[in-house]
Amino acid sequence: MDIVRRGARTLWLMAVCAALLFAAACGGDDGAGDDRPFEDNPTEIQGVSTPSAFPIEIERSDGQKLTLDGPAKRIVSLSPGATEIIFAVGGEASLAGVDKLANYPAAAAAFEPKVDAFQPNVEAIAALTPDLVIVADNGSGIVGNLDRLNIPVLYLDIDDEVKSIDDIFGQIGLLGRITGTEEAANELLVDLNARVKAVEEKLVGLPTTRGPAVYHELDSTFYSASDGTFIGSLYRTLHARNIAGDGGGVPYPQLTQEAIIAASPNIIVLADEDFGVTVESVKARPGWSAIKAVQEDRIYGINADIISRPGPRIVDALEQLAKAFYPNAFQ
Amino acid sequence: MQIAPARRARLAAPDDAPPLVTWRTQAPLFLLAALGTLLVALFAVSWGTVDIPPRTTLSILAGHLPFISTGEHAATADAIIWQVRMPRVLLAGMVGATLAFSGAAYQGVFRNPLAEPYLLGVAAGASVGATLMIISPLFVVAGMFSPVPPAAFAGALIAVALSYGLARNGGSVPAASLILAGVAVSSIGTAVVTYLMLTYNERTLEILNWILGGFNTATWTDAAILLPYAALALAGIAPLARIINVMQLDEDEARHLGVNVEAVKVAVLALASLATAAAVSVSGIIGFVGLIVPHAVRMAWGPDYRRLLPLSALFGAAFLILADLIARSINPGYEVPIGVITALVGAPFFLALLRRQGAGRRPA
Repeated sequence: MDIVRRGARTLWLMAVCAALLFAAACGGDDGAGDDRPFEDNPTEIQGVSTPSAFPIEIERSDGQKLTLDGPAKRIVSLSPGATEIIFAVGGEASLAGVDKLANYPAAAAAFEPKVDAFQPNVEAIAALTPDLVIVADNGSGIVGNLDRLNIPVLYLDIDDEVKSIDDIFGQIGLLGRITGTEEAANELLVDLNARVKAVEEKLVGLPTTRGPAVYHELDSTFYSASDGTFIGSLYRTLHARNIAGDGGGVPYPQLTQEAIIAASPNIIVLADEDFGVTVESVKARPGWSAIKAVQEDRIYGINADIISRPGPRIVDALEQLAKAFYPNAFQ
Repeated sequence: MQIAPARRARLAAPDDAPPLVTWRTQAPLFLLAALGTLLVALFAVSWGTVDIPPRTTLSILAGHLPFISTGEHAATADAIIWQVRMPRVLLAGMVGATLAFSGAAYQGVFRNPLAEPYLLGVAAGASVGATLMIISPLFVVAGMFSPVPPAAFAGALIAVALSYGLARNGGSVPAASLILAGVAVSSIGTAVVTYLMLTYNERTLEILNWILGGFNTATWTDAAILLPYAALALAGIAPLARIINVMQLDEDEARHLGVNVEAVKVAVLALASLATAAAVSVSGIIGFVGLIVPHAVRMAWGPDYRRLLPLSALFGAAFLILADLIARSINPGYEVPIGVITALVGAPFFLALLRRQGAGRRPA
């Protein structure tokens, strides 16, 4: 078993290195472009933008430049996360269409017209005469199609650009500026930052490496989220050790069952309750009784939408997990 | 068939004739292959993300046999060996055996080297069944026992029945019609799955995961589900090996020899399809095994189905166990889709065999 321990230590070391590297990369590269608002006030509140004038220049995930000369007035959002943000900052008057998976807040769920972000129909989108289309995933090649029609596209890839809570805050600030609702966005960010800080402060005394080991389950075939994702950053904030580690280079890796059992996480977080996985069904999995979280009854379900979507509700997820992880500190 | 005259010529030349194939003369070969497969399985059980020494592995395995006590083991090691690796290796072996055996049987009755167990729409039908279940509300409320395997099984059988029904012409089912019907039914199934997957895109990951297949979630229950179907196919088809041999010459000739070709065809197809449907329902769609393993065996040990069928089952088992071993250890702790491995490892190996055989045949 010594080899196991050594292996685990190596893995952990690799995870730490990856986290450090990642932090370094984040410091040097400003992802969303030189307009990244919190670059101006790094010690203050994440995401809050200083009053700025148009034009805004943004570097998209594909390296292209997007220049906006004024606030967007007819936005088609193909990202449920961006849609949530726009509603949260009161910018919904600028929306001309949302993705059909948009289900929060209720007004977004009721919003018409809806388009399909998974297999986007470029004609249906063009018919809405948008002055900006927000894309978070270009698997379908929609960005190129819209470019050919000279429709401005804000393409910020969910995997490349959103790797931490702070990145989500950066997007809130950016979307506030784009929809001309900076003030509301800044107010929201002040509030969200304060809530994150409140959680962090309660955990101050904890050493970074001694927190609980966590397995975050995305689906019943053991897909998980690595340290390099914003879900991973939530666990870092909570001083928890994510057993998915660096994911072997994959943001959302599929873990082997025996690696999960061997890691014996203290806590299991289920983001797949919508797909029929329950605390009971996890406990009943053969071999899982050897896992500490199963023995100590520390399996928690969380609404997949609030933790898997880069929107303001990520802080709700953080608070819920904090309460579950540290019940004594968060009475 | 183009190869028939050549084979007939070979049968006519006594010097060149292969030694008599009977169960007794083949026993050493089968025993050796079975032993090899067993060793592969043992190796796969003792190898994984977590380092557990082979001694401990064997001791844990022995401890689970009746009447043997090997003392206490760490709960984690025991869970990993007995609840995770054992069912995983066993299921991979059974699925590999079923697919390779069924593939060999299909190739025999269709007399077509491209025949494979998914030919009659088993894979596409199972995908439709699984997809419909995954997007239905039942998927969420079912809880502990997944309703997906039974749905996949039903879909697979419906697809095969459909292919068969469509190809049926009077009393007979011409092989060519059956193949074409299978291709058409498969296309329809694939189209339905693609449409459903894109329409219900909040479930796309689940559907895709099922279709890609694999053994990461294998349990003893999965193995128990497959066992009766696999055993039935093996026990039902193996005794027909001699008749399948005769059918290779010419269906008409076989009829003249008193073989009820249609009955044999239906029996083989029904048993092999049933077993394949069961395998697909517990493991998803794993390609390539059913096509290349029988051919590899054929290249090494000749076309006699009395040898081909059992050896295909054994080598199919060993092949898929090894492919799964690679899939779970190439990036320790993380999974690689097994279909990628069967294709990436299987295809070059197969091509090498093909070239070697081609080189041997070329006149000097």
